[in-house]
Amino acid sequence: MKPAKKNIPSPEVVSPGEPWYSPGLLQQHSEIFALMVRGIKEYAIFFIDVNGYVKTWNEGARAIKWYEPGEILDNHIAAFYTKTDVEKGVVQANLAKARERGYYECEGWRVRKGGSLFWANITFTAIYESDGSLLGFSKVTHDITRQKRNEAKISHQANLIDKTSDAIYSLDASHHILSWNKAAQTVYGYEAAEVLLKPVEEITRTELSDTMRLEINTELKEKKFWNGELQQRRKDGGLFWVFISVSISVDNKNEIDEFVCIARDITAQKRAEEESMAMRKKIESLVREKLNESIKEVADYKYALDKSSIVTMTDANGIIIYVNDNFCAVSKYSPGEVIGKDHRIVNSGYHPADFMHQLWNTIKRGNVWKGEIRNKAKDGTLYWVDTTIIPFIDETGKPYQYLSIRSSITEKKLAETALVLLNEQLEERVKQRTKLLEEANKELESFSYSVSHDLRAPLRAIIGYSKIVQEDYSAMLDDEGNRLFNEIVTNAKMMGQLIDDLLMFSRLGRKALNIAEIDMQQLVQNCVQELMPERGKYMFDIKDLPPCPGDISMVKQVWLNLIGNAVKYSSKTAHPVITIGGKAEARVVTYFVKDNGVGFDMKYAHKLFGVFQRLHRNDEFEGTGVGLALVKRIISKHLGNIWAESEQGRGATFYFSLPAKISI
Amino acid sequence: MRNNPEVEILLVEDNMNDAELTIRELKKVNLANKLIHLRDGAEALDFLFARGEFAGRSPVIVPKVILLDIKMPRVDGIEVLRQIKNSETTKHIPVVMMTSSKEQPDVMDCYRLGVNSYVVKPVEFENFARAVSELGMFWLLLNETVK
Repeated sequence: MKPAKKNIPSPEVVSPGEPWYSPGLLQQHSEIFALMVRGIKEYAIFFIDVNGYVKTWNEGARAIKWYEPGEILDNHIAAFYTKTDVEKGVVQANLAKARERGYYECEGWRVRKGGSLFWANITFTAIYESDGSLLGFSKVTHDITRQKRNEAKISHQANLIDKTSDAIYSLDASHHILSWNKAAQTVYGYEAAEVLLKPVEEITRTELSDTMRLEINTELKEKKFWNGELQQRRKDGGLFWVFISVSISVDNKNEIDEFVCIARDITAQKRAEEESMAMRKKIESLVREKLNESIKEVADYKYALDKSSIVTMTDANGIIIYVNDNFCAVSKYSPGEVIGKDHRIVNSGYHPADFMHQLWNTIKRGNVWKGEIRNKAKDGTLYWVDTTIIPFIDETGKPYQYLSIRSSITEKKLAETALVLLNEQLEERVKQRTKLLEEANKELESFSYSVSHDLRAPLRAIIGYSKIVQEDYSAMLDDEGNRLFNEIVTNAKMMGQLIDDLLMFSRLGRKALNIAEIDMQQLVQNCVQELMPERGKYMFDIKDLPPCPGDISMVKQVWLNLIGNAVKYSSKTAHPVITIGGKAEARVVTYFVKDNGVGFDMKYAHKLFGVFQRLHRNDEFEGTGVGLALVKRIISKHLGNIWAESEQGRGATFYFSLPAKISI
Repeated sequence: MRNNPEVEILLVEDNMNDAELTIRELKKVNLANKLIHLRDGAEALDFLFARGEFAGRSPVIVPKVILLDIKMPRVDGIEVLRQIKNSETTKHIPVVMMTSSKEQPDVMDCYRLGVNSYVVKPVEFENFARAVSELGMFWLLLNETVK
């Protein structure tokens, strides 16, 4: 945009050299002209000669260029040019152009007296003598610095206006659109030509409530400015959000001159906001929901805890800040009596100082302490509580509160005490019983001793004297007499055997097991050898016998008895065969002794292992009826089993099993 | 005989039947000539240490072997054994403990106290007789030099 050139005759209108005034006028009224020119203040108007020396100076020249007439007259116009322009020969060039064309206009930086610059519009006009020869030039200079600056500003602003993404448009006082920038086209969808001079309401179609409209108008009237978010329509009818600033410029009568609107499409932002709002609401509601759940849960827990436990809370120094009903019920203190105090109020003095130190050291370090504490209620009754103290830790890691949860274990403690007492009584009783048992054992021992000693002595006497009679007086006895003495001796010997067997049987009951791994193969060989140094008609078939733990002296008795029985009860068999074997299983080792002797009737099997129980008469097979009872007792002591199978007249098989592992 | 200084066998037995049977067997092998039978431990100690009833006896003269029953009234065989083995004058005398049963809880005590032999009196008379006579012979003959 170029500034208007109202004050300067346009070169297109007046051609150089063609006079624009009556030729005689200058001569006649040069004085009048000179006066007119001299008084003009807005323009520097002066005359320079053909060579460029200043010849006149008016008020305007003085105001613009700050020289007094005396300082500048007869000086060259080069003084008004910048040093650069002078060096470039601009001065001479301008003069030459003016001389050539008769008229020359230009703009440029000029120098005032003192060196300050101003932007000047300069016109050279050639002045000719009546004979047509060049007299000089009139030079009109106008300081257009401000205008120039505004021009630059405006051009810059116009540029900005076109480049911004904000819609910028202006309205006249009656809301008709006066300008419409490029962004406005993009934002609203209208070309400038479509909207110019049309009422803005028809174009932007703002959705506005009456109250809102009133509010905006009031604010605009008062402050000449309003901004805010509005919903408007695009050309295609689509509703969208704008952030709009409206400012009013007024004229010097304070009447509205122009509205300037700057509108930014904030639909996306608004949508994002709405979305984020929706999201936030959703999250908030979720959080609230969860929070409510948690709060309820915590409340439930607290309720449950309060109902079930004795709960107290203290500050970091152990001062009670909360107690629940259970605490009050147990301790008999009201909350008012304990809050503000420490737990020493319920200290029973039962626990040593070390115990309490350990407790405090634990929780002060932020660790949970658990233990049983005996407390004292207000009325002096003592009660036991199972206690858990939980420190609450602040962000520096230090406890700021302690929560103590206790449950009453007085009854448990009483039961424990009772149990301890009971145990002590039991132990005492066991001791007494053990003592009694030991005494009984001792008595039994001395009884056995007496039996063996005192019962044997008369037997020895009976046998001894009978023998003496037989030795010294047999001649005086007939056969019957001798037979009767023999019977006496046989029976006495029998009784001696009975005594021995019984003593062994009773001794077994008292003897402790001496468990070690037994080489059964070896043991059985020894037993057979011991029983039958000469095999005679007997055939022994000794199979593999796995080893087994046991008390070797006792197990030997078992083998001696079983093998001895097999020998005895097959003595009437023509070709007796005795088979001995064994088999190891996971938990037990089972052995057997099988003979082909007389066997027994299975219906009497239950009597086999009883003391003094015999399945054969003495005149068939001798025996005391103690052997198998002894065997059974030994096997039982080893936690084993014994049983027998037989068929009358077809031999018998005796089995016994011992645990593969014994821990007695 | 009770003050016979030439005692070879001292039999200490409270059971008169056992004593009689024992002596009879020893007689059979001619060992009972210099035998003295005392009926309990107290008598045996008095005899050995020349006290009480035997106060006039010289304690230096000791039997060559002592057959000692364990279970006796008043002072039992264990106590007699202990005193015999504790005394310088008697501790070298061979002592054979005779008992009717292996049940005896003090068999170990006897060995600890230094008994020279230990026999169970068998019920069977023949065995008993054999044991007694063998014992008598063994100790008398083998310990001839001890005195």
